[in-house]
Amino acid sequence: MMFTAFGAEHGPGMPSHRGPHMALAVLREILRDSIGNLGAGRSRTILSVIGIAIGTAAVIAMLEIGHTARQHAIRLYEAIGVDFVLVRLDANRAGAPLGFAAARHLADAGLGLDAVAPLAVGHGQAVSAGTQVPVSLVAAGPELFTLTEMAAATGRVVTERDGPALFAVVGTDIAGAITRSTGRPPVVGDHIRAGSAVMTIVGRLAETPINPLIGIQFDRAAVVPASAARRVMPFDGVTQIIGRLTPGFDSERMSERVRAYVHRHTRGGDATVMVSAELIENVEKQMRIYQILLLAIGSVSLVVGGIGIMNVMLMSALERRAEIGLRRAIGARAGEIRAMFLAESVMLSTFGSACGLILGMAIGYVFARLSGWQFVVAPSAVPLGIGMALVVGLFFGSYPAARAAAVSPIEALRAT
Amino acid sequence: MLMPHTADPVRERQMETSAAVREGRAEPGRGGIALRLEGISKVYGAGQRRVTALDNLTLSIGAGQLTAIMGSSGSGKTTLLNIMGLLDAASAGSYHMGGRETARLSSDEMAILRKRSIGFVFQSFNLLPRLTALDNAALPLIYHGLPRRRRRERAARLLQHVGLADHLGHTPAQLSGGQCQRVAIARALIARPALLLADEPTGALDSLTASEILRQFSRVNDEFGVTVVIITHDPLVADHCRRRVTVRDGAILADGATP
Repeated sequence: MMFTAFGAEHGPGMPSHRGPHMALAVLREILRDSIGNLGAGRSRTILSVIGIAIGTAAVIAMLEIGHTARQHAIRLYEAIGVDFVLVRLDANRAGAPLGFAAARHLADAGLGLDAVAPLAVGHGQAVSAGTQVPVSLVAAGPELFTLTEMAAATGRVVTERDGPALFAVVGTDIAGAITRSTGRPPVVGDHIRAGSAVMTIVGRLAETPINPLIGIQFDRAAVVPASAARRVMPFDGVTQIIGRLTPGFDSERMSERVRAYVHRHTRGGDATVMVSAELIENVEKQMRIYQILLLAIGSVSLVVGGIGIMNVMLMSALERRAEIGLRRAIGARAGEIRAMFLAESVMLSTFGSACGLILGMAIGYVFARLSGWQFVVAPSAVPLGIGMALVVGLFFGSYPAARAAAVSPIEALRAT
Repeated sequence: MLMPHTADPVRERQMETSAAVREGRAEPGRGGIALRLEGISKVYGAGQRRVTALDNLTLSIGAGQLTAIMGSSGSGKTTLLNIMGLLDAASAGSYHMGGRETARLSSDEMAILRKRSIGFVFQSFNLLPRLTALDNAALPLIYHGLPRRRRRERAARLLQHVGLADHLGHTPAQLSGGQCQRVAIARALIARPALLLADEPTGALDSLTASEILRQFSRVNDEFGVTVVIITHDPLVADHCRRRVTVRDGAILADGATP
């Protein structure tokens, strides 16, 4: 081994770095070295990591919950389409009720509705073989089944030809309740009583998801022919109309015209008109507000966690003055000390964020499960988690790193 | 001059130097001037609290020499070490190192020159407690961009050279003072510096261990041709050195050589 005196090897001028390859190699080794520096598991390091983890978990959980809820709402509305219309008639004691015939005529009046299905909805208790279950009584024409694509699982649905006969097609939950009380599923010809009306079962509806616009649980309903409405309900006339918007028709205009029509035919009555597209927009708007709020809460936790990291790194810069001085003495440039400290704080925040990401996802998953929703991973969750880690680590690490980089190499001699 | 490509910047530089030596452009060991300080002053503070640590000091040290710089505390010898080691800049004067003026170098340029040309040994060893002897000795090579495996290979060879082959995996807490100082010497030599600067290297050691460390310095000086400067207040340490420079009140009081 031959060692040399210095001199000619440096050539004229300063030996600057030998190209970007060399600088990268140094940076790579500094980053690897930083990993080792974190090895010491001091309690305040762990605490600051927990802070970051909680902040990230909050943001990610909120993001996941918001995303899952929104996907859930969108899926529901996708099932019914964006052109679904609900006209709910306001209570109008002074005026006249809206008859089924007049309501059906809405589809032909050129008001912007293509197909309509008028309904009269009431609530009561269905009694069968000594058990009582709450039931929604729905009087409707056959248009209901075409519009909502509901069908009978067994038997048949009610039709125009049933006239005012008390025939009923029952929802699956009602059928289930009957099965539990009698020991066998209801068959066509069985009877079910609601109030004083005794209805004959003609069929059972297939399982039907709740339509968020109509808001009727058809699984817990008994549907009777429109003409039988007054025989099972204490009131007369249509309570709501469902329909589809004419393609390309402005929903505001349709709404005004429908309300005017209702006003005319009920002597002063009014109606509330809702279109599913508007509801979807409203849901999205609410979700956005919700998300912004939750992100704000998460950001506050992140700032708190970031200050924790800054504290840890500042203490570290103070405690390691001798080490920094030594590293400077053996040739580390100020920028390389800065890089080491930044790498350490980014690693701390990245570790915290990774824990938070997993925790947040888990919270989102549990929340979705408890709500009976399908869990969907928000596409922005992982990039956001990584982004937050980098921003927090770099932002809150930059001041301690600058302090560390400012330590003079002569500190190496002061060490005791 | 066309350089052979190697991924080891330290070795690359050594090869350049060997070529320079063969061509007679640089002379290792005895003869050439390694350090030349001319009219160096260092002043701290300003106004009423102005303190002159070094006052127009001039000193030359030949390449390959083993020199002791002696002085009591407050004599300015630590300031002199800071300036010779490029840890601090002089207030005035000129400092040539290997024929290059260093007085107006930037902080980064000084760091690069320290990295490539100077090794330090400190009174309190300054080993990182969480690292093994091997990794402590290998530490400077991080800043040369050498991968860890290569750093450890080089450190293992040097630790063997200073007699610590059996202690590579020990942390400083598991080593005696003398062993720690030998790890520090290995660390100082790992980047193949031209100048080895030691600040009271025996100050924390008993006299037996101290003389062992001093023999280590002599050996390093002989075998590697590295210029060694030891700062000390201990006359016994100075006895091991061929040249003794005494500093008082920021100036040279005596400068003598033993035959």
